Amino acid sequence: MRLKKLSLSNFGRFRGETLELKDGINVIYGENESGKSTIHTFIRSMLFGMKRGRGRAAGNDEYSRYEPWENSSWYQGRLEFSSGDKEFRLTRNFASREKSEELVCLTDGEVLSVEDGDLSMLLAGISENVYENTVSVGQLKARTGDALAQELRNYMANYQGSSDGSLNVAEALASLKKKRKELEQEIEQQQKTGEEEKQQLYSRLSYVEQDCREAKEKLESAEAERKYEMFDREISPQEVRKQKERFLNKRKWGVACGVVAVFLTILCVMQFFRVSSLFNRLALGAAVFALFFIIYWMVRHTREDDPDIEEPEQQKIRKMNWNVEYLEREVRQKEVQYQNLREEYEEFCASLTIPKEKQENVAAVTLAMETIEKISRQQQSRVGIRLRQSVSEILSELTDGKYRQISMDDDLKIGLHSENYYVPLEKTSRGTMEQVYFALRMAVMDILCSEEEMPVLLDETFAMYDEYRLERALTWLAKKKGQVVIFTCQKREEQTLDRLGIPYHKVDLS
Amino acid sequence: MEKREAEGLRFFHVADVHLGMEPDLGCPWSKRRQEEIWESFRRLVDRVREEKPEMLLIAGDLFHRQPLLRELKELKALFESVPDTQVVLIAGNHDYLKRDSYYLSFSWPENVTGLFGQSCERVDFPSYSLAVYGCSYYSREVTENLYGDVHPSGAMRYHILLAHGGDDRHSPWKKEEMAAAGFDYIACGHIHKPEILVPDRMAYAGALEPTTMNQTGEHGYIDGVIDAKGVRISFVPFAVCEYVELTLPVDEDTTQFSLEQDLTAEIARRGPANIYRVTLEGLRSENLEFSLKRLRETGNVVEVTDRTRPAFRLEQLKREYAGSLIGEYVGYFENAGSALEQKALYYGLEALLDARRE
Repeated sequence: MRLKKLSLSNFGRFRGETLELKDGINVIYGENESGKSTIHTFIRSMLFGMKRGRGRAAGNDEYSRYEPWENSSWYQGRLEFSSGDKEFRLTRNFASREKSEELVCLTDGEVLSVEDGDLSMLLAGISENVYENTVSVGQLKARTGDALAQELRNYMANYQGSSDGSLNVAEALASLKKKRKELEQEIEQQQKTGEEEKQQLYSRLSYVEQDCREAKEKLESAEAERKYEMFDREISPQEVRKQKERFLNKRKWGVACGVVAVFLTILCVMQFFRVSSLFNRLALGAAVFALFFIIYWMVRHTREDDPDIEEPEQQKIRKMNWNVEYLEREVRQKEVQYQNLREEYEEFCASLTIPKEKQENVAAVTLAMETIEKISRQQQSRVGIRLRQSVSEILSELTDGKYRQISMDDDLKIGLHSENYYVPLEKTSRGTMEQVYFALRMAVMDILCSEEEMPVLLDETFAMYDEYRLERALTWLAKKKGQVVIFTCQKREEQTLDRLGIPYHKVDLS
Repeated sequence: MEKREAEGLRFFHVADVHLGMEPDLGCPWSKRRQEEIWESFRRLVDRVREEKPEMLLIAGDLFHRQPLLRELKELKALFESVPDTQVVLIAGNHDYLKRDSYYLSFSWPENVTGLFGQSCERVDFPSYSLAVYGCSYYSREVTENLYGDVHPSGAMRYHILLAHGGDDRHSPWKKEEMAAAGFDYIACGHIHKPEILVPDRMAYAGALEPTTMNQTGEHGYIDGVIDAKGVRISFVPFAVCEYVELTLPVDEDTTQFSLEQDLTAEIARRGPANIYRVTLEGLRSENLEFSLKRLRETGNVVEVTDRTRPAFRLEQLKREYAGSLIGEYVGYFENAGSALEQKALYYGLEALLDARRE
């Protein structure tokens, strides 16, 4: 593809501006703010349409930035170009309400359709993304040496890895890794919460278990007490009766002995006082009889006391029976409660599973990472070898054979090889890094745009080049490329081209 | 008595009340729901008192676990308040009859009959010329059909079977065989979703109140009549709470805040007594992820599922990034069938697009 004529009918600061471009080297000279980047954007917008932000981003997008300063409903331009041996004219109106595009083949007058992909065919399938990373070349954006080396390293890694210079695969993978960690932590958190609930339930369970055990112990001790008491009652009454009988017998004998003793004593006393009247003898006999009766009555009475002693004992046992029954009910109730809670605990434990959905999310992130790595590796092996060869060739020409090889190890360290030594990229000058960058872009362009040769758009690319390197670069471009458009705010490119005797077409914007 | 027989009889069929259960354990409304389940059963008894059906049939799982003595006392008082209605109940797989179950030792009021046999037995209600059949669970699972051999017998005119189970591990049965056994009506329990298995012949009353979040839809009991013309049943919605599936549409302008507002409004509209299972659906703005936790904390939300997809224009991305990793990545998952691959596509794409250098 060759760009022939740019007509900026109404675009940004330009109104009715027409630029002619020729084969070979074109130098577009203009001071700062003269509209060089507007032309850049114009070419890209003509080829690929205008990027529009969506939603909240729309206020600040490219469309708004280049909206014509006057008469904004008429927002259009025309581009004439050649492809193969035919000439084409592409007209676009960018105004959002009257958006339209028209593609005409000037050679045979055929009207083509942008919508149906005719333009895309003329571009040999080069996507906007590839265009931005190959066809148009600016300067490296980073300023410090280390950051510059890093930027270049990413660029190289991604060209090598993905043939897409604007993408930082390592960063994408890192962010996925972070995402996965977040998801895993979420699961962990959920498990922790579940675990806490389980603990709570468990402590409730232990409490009820303890309660249950205590009730059982109470019951057991009550039963034991009752048994002891019953044992006393069952065995002891016989024992007591026997003992009492024995005691009573003993007492009977004792009393009998006493009575005989008293009787004998009275007889002795009577003998002593010589009491012999019948009255006295009768009175004495009655007294003795009365004494016998009293003793007998006392013995009887003690015997009758026994049932009275047993009565409160039985009451106590009855109370104990009630207590045992009450405790039995209590234990049973608590046992049921405990079993119920235990079931609940077991069911809760069984229900503590990680939701499938969350696990699936983790798996999805893993799959995304694996797939990115896989595609990246595939592209690397497809593109990598050729790319390195190509970069090495171009770099060798640019440096006049000083650096012959470029290499990149597994840690993404880029190194330059001269005939005798090896220099890590970060040890080289900014100028050299810019050269490596240029070589990379050109090499990638060769690979990705092999079907249709695209013009090379260079935006202040050579600002950091010394005279000698600028000469080498311009010589290489004049020799290798069909159409080159150099945007510059300096005179040195022109001067160098003049000195080298390379013909060029100049467009002055100022 | 003769008159009644001519008129037939009316019955309420209720099942799976699960008294004592705390639904959605760990959620703030768990205790409240436990109370509501009891309350619903009390309301049901109130309804029985008002409408005076001849029979109240409870087809198992009246309690969620082993009933406590005080709970049975509560029940007794309730049943004693409807002396004109005969209550028949069986024990299901949740309140199955353990050796020392209070069901067995409890002294039930006169109008309550527990069919607590291990195999089916019959109880006759001559005043209605009705025989009720049924048996109880003695373990949590019963893998043989408890009702395979039971057929109407005796002198009664109407025959109702109380049956609990119907899945693989709880008395598996074939509804056609059951329905062909000759009963006028089979009152089923165990499955919590109300379902008429054979019209006017065999039905699950469903849980009186829903007990877990997958039991969406209405819950209540079955009101039926048996007379000379046959059986007619109808489902009566009765639960105070329903699990409602709520789908919130999402588009590129949806934000967390607007989503929370939508949810609050929807819940207010559909009834704050219900419990909601929320699903987000639609295309969300890229780089926006909703906090599901915040949505859950809106109240009465038991579950939030995010089915939204970031609003990537896949075709456009594929075209724009043709030949680059992003383009190939989109192409790789183009025919992604599984949810896993879909998710992987979006996760990966999000990361790749974020990692573009401007």
